[in-house]
Amino acid sequence: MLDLVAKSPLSGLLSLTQGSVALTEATPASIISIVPFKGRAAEAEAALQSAYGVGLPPLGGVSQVAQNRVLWFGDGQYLLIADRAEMPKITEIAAVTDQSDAWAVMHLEGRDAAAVLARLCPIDLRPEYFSKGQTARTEVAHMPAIVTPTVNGFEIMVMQSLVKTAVKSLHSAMKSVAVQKM
Amino acid sequence: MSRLTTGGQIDRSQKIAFQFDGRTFQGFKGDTLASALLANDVRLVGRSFKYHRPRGILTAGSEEPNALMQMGLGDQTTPNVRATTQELHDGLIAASQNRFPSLAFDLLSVNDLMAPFFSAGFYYKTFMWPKSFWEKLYEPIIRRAAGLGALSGKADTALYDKAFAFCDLLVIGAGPAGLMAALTAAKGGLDVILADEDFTLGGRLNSETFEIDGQPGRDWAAATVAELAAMDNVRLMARTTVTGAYDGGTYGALERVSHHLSTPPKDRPLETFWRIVAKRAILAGGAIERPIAFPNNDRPGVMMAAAVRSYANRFAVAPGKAVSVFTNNDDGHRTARDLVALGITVAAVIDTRREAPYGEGYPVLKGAEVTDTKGRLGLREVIVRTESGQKTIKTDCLAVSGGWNPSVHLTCHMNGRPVWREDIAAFVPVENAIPGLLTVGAALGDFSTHAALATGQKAAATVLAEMGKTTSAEKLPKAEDAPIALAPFWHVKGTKGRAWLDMQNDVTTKDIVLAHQENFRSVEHMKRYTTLGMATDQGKTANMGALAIMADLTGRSIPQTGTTTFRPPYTPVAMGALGAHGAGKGFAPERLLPSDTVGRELNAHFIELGLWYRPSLYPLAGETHWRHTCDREVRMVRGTVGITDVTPLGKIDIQGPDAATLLDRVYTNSFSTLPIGKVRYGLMLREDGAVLDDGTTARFGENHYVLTATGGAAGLVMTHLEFCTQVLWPELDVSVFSVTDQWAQYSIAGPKARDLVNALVDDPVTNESFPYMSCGEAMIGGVKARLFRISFSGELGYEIAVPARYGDALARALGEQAKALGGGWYGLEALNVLRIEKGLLTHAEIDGRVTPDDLGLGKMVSGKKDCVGKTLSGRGAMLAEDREQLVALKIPGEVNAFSGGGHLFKVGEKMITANDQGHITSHCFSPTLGHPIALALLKNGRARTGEKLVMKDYARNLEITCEVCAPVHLDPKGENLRA
Repeated sequence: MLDLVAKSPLSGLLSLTQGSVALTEATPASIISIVPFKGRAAEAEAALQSAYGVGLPPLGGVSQVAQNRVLWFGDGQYLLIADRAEMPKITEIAAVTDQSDAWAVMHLEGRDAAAVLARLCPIDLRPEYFSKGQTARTEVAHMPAIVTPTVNGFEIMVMQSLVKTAVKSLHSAMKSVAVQKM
Repeated sequence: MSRLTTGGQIDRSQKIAFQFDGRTFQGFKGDTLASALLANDVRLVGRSFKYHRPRGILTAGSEEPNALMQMGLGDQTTPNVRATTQELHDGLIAASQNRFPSLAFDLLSVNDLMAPFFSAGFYYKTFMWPKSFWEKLYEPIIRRAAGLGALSGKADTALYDKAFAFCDLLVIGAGPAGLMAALTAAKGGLDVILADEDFTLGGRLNSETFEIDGQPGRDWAAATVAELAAMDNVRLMARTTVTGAYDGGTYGALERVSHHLSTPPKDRPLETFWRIVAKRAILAGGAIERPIAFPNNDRPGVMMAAAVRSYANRFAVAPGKAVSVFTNNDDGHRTARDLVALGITVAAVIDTRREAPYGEGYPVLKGAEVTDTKGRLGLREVIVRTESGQKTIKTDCLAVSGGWNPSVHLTCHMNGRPVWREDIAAFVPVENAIPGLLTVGAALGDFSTHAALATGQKAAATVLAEMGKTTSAEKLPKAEDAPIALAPFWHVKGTKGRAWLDMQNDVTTKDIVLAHQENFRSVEHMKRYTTLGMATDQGKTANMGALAIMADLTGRSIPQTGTTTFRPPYTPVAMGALGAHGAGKGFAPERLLPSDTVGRELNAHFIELGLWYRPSLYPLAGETHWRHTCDREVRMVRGTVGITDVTPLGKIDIQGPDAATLLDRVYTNSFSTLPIGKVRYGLMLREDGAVLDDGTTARFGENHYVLTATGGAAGLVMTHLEFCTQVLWPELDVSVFSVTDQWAQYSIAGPKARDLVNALVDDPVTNESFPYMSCGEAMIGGVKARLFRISFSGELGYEIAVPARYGDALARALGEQAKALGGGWYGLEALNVLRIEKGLLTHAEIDGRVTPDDLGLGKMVSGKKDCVGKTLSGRGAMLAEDREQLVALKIPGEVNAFSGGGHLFKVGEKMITANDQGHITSHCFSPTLGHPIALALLKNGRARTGEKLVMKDYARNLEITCEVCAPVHLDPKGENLRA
């Protein structure tokens, strides 16, 4: 009997530490895209509320309860990051796709995390403008990315096929910052 | 040694050894290369661009035109580094430029004797004929003779970085105005970045002797910098030149990160190029002292008066044993006073003004002008014309001050034109030339220290108010407030000999006169005719003098004459810094297949397709030519079974009540009629009627489709669908979402494909249970997979998709099972041969110009419904009878080959454009048929089966005869597919 063994796109690449900053792999339960059909957002939100306790976030926002999160992903598009086992049946009210394998998720954390990311990502990362509760679809080392502030740094999501380049770029930036802070 | 025994901002406890032109010298920490050379009595530092004239250090800043050095060795060498800004470090190696064999004896200084032949416009007039001589003879000789530093000719291995920064306020320049502005704004609570090109912040305060609040200016600067450094909302960026102002409050800045280190640690970049986005900016860039033109004013030893103060006060260097000053303003006297105070002899102050002040411990020649200088490799004496006759003054350093030019450059980067201020005889920035940028201090033409502090504070208060913050009531520190006392004086008239304006590009006053004579009178024409201001210093010390002369000659005022355009960068920026992160493979990310590791273990050859790295061949031991591998892989698929990774195909998930409607509108054929569990081949048009892409779309539910786009066109198709759903028909209730990266997808093709599939899936499939063009779900090793029965080879074919994390495991399982069945992996080369044999399309055929009918797919355009592109596909030219149509070609035998892009002609006709019949789009050797085949677009091709044609490839000089045949070579009825 065949047994397919899962392999993370980040396997063998992480963790990495340079100076005060660490780049580690995150393993969210599942990532599910949710795009409510016309006029059905409230129903979709209610379903998510009852299953996960989270609603739909505003533009650029994240709603979170415990480990369950919903990230804004685009106009009327959301990413649910939670255990898919609890997922209510909402295919009648929203377009749903599994994205758990599409994205590689990393945490870039430590005192100089923002200085590292500022070498690769063109958005304003100052905490007054970008902090917990917010998320941005942006680019990291000219790759499409989702960047979300965490308590001590950033969660960075890139397409799994690109992850090797992403890690390489982040590691170079980490080294550059670490050596300049020496 | 010319080092003063005390004073200066140098650390005498840290001695630094360095090399210049092979000789070893010593300086101190805190020195620049220029100050260390002067301290060692090295005055001759380079040869000029055109005439190879001996040149010395003119300035003490980034405006330096003469003291350009070749730094470092080997592939790390950097040309044209300004000695005046290069910090001294242990082991620094510098060499002078543009001299042969040595700096003191330079053979090409003969150019100087031939100066009459080398004036402005010389090349243009002289090297006109014969025309062919320019590239072969003239240009190489000129390039050898003229020029500055040299590149290594090797790839630059240095590490460069780039970064983004954001702030409320960017303060450019850390002199008194910039420091005051930064301090005021930071205390008011703004996020401040203070950038300065120097390694010690403080600007002119480090070079002058005046006081602020009763303490030396440099101490006030140091204390203020320390105060700023302690604030969390301030980022100090020393060694950082703001090089350009761009849209939206964006500024470019170059940080010199490691140029000052002897052995930079590994991973430390040489430079970082910053993009700083600031809500507001304050330009406190100071001013640049301007020279006066007089004959032989370019000898080593002739320096700017403020630079002499810098060297004496900041670096504790006496630039001469007997210094004289030539000035038209009171600043020249400041130089004399400072030198006297340091115990340096001042031979004379030559002041062009009759009303000049009296000397304080030095003689003053009032109403006097320098008419010539002497000294071959360094200044020995100056000839002065006074009201009482000519005088010769023994002097080895002449400090020149012609007044100051505010550094308006950044304010001109968005096409602002500076305005003339008569009282200071200088151009100042026009307000709001850069949105959100205020100019302060000397850059605004307010030259006193008090004015610098006051305007800096005021501008910061303005910014604070605009941003809704309050200014704390800080008292302005007390400082000198001397008015500028200046009588405009640009060049000494009534003299013989060449008077230099642009030292770096060797432009003299005579060249300006010549430009005027030849009617190049607009400043922009003058600039290009004489090359004034076109060197690496962009004429920072040269432009104004030339403008003044042109104004004189044309009888216009200086403001009427106007300035040339200042463009970014303010100082040179290395291409390496601009291209940071882009070297090597950094220019584009690499997309790797789920089976990437498997492919590498099998020693597959990879090629780039879009961003994807895909195996082109899986060579076996003993296969020495790519055709061995490719032919074997083709025969393997036709004979048993082959597998290949097709993950890069764009997978677009379409869901919603209007999913079918959307597909019916974007595809030429109908998808609302597609049964659930079935796949259909579709054709998509652009708005203009040309084919955009082809591919299969599977229906998984009433309102759920998965569309497959060509790998290379996946982004294009996604964009098209988003445009359709967001702009054309926002009323459609449908979601379009990419799932390309979610699924690892493998193609399985060949007569044994079903055996392979059934070896893996939990529930085996039969031809009846899962016929051609079916889709559905299947369980493989406990994982839910998607199964498709489609083929891109003409063989029995399946595609299996599993969530990407299982891609590696499935690839390994497929590889093992395929091997057991006598098959294996095949690459893109074989895939291409398989589809050409079957007449299937890629974007070589869908080249952006073809219609469905051109491709033989006219019947796929449904007459029952409308779709994007249908209307415009009905235009006359799109239906013309002589359009090129898809055909196949063949050449009998194994010897000859087609040529990609080769053009087709009728046998016997002249092979010229007018007779062009079409071109080869794809070609290969068919191992199945045993001869070369091709796909081509041929005029009226479908009617020409059997016709002989000539293919001509002018690029490869290839000519062969071939025969037109039907576009499907193999299994035209598709029986294999359905078996």
